[in-house]
Amino acid sequence: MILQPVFRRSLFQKKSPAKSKLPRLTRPVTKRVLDNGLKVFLIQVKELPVVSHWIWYSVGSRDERSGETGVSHFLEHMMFKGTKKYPKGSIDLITARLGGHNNAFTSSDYTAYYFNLKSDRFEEAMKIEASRMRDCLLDPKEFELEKKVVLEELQRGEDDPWGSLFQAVEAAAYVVHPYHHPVIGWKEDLERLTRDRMRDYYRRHYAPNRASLVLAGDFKQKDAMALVEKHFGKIPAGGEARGEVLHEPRQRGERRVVVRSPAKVPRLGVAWRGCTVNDADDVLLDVINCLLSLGKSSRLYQQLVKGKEIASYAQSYNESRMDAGLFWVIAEPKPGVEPECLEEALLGEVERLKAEGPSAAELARIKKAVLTSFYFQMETVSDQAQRVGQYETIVKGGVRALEGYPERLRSVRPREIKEAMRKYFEEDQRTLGWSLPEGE
Amino acid sequence: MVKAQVNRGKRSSGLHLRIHRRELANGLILLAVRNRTAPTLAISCSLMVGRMEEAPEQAGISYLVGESLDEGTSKWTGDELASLVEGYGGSLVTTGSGAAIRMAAEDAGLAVKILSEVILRPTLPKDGVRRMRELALAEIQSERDEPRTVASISFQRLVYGEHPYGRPSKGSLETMAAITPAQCRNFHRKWYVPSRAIIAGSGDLDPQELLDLLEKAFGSWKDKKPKGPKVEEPRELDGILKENLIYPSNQVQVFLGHLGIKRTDPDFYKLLVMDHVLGSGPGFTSRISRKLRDEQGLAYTVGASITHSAGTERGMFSAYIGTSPGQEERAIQGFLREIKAIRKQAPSRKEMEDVKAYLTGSFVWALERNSNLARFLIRMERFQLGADYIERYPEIIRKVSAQDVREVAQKHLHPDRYVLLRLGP
Repeated sequence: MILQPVFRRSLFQKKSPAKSKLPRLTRPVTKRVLDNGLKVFLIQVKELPVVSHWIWYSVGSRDERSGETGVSHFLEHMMFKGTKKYPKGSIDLITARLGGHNNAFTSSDYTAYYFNLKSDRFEEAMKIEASRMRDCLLDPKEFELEKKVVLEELQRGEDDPWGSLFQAVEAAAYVVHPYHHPVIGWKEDLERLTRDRMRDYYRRHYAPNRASLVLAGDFKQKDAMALVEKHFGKIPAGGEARGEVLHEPRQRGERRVVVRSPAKVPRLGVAWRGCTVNDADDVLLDVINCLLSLGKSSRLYQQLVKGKEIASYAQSYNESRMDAGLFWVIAEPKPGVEPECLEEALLGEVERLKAEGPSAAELARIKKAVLTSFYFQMETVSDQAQRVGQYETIVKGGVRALEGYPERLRSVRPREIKEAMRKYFEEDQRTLGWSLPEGE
Repeated sequence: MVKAQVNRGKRSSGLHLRIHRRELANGLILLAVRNRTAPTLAISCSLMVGRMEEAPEQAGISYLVGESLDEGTSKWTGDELASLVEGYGGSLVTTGSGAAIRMAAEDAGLAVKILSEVILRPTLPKDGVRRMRELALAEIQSERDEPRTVASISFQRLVYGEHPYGRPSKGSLETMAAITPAQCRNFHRKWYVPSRAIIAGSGDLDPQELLDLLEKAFGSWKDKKPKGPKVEEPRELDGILKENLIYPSNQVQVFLGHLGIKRTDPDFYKLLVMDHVLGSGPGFTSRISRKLRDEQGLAYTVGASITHSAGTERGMFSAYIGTSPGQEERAIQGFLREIKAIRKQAPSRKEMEDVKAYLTGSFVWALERNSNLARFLIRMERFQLGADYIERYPEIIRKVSAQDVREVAQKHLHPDRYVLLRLGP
């Protein structure tokens, strides 16, 4: 599923990341690779005269070394602060003048930049991205100013009671793998980060051979390819190949963390070690996720919010990533309910699914729900481009891997769900965190 | 369908939306467009119901009724309804002012049936309403852990005073706790009437077919002309009203502003241009975000707008920033400086050109995604924007002059009488 990217500008804030996967791309994707290694994906959609232009770099906080945490995301901010051709502020201004939108986001596994523009003017996005690929100025004065903005963003995150709990649980669940550190980085690393270190990082990771360009919308394929060649074809391959990271050893026992905060409402987050995106088990964890918390008919709602009336909120997420991610279940106790009581009931629901598995009818309902929900993700060109870019950047086999998803989903049997529950939802494999009020 | 015709050379948006409209004998307005992008359908039912219809001692009742609409209908129990919607891969959201459903387009008949059940025939059962009330109470408590939400609620209270918009939509712990299921049923009976409703759908389906389905389901809805509590217009401030709330957060939340305009205000479009010059342009193109974020690094989130909250009632002009303690005075001075500047001097030619190019060019994005389109159709109808609104819009924006912007800034922005709310350590 989609990771939790950190946006340059805040968008609509959901309590959680959204699901993003599709059984079949009903629209064909054309793939080309330039001589310098840039991968290009074209998806034609003609309903509106618009084009969504995306560049995905295969770099994220996963690639950061000790002492430079947060540099991927901070660098993404700096990409708007001036390149050789585009002075500070001009990228937003040009986009606005063209009646379009742009933004960018960084996750642990990738960094993405997009423009949504009318179809008669998307070449401008290519010009800008070509310039940003190698010619970002990283002006020292701008670097210091933007560092302040990023530190404000970090503080804003710390004021979010869920945000600080997620961060604490992740840091405990991963000890050696870089998923240990937050995408935004540790505060002291950010404060100490130098412009030169960022420049080195930029040189190592930003190059055509580390990027995928995705174009979705109303354009002529031949013309679009000619433009890609014109703007990106001359940029030499460079940087380094994406490095290996330390594997997280198998967890040997439950880990527990408590975050004391000014927040008055207790909040619970339990994370089990999950799998990689498109692992054979990923679809099973997707189904488990929906069994647990898709809507008011789901198990967590029926049992905890409705039946026992001990939770005011309960949700799960299958956060599969490039390397094994986490499967989350989070909840808030209703006022007056003891945290232990909620914890016991929530873990009890997970155990029940493990012991009993889903009924055939329940599973059939969830499968239909998952399949239909993918159609809603086809409603905009931007959604379609995003899905392709994400898969190409972090999944071996790229977007083609998605093609098998619907069949795989259809074939899921209740027995497989039980087996996956036993495999992933072990007590020794979980990290359990509570955010509790200070002084209680 | 969302037919995009490019009419170069004509001074229109070049976009044409074929809207199918039907007004039923009971006063209900139905709207539909075809959109073939995906095999999906979204239908929204929007009712003129909310805080304005609530008695102060029942603050939160419209929210509670909305949350409870899917707890059971004459045909289905709440559980049956949830299984049905989710089993078809759809989603149903009910709120204090109506409901919206998304389904595969081939399931349009079922989507309309479900929507009509929750709007027309909810049972608002005792146990369901009680549970929803307890969840609302829990949410009120949970929101107190979110500094920006706490600040925003306090700011609205100060700006609107006794007016219903001064109260949060969920009411208070006290008023919410006191609402009974019987009161909810009365509220629904009284206010959920066709003359207050607009229903709009967008998706891959023949619009006439959709309108037929909707007419069949909603045609027998009886209209009454409910009379609500008499509400006085909110009072203007006569000076500066400051409030400082101590809160254990990392950042300081600052809201500065005052009463704004209704959506039907003749100055709306001039103010829309002003907003984009001043505080709500895309990216960091507007003056406030450019200066406070880009040039001074004071914040991640900062902006200002008067048109954003304009609705059937007066909205607010509000400037917002979340910044580190000790920097708020610079931010407040920054807000005031920019407000005074735009009142004093008309924007430059370049600023006007940039903003107009953005506003006229970005219109197309409102037409993406069925749920957005359905909401867009409802706004067009609610505020009587006219069937040719999309075609006329670019011309409306182009006509706004720099002098107009200065004049409306003088008329609608008040740097000498405002609420200043600070929340933080």
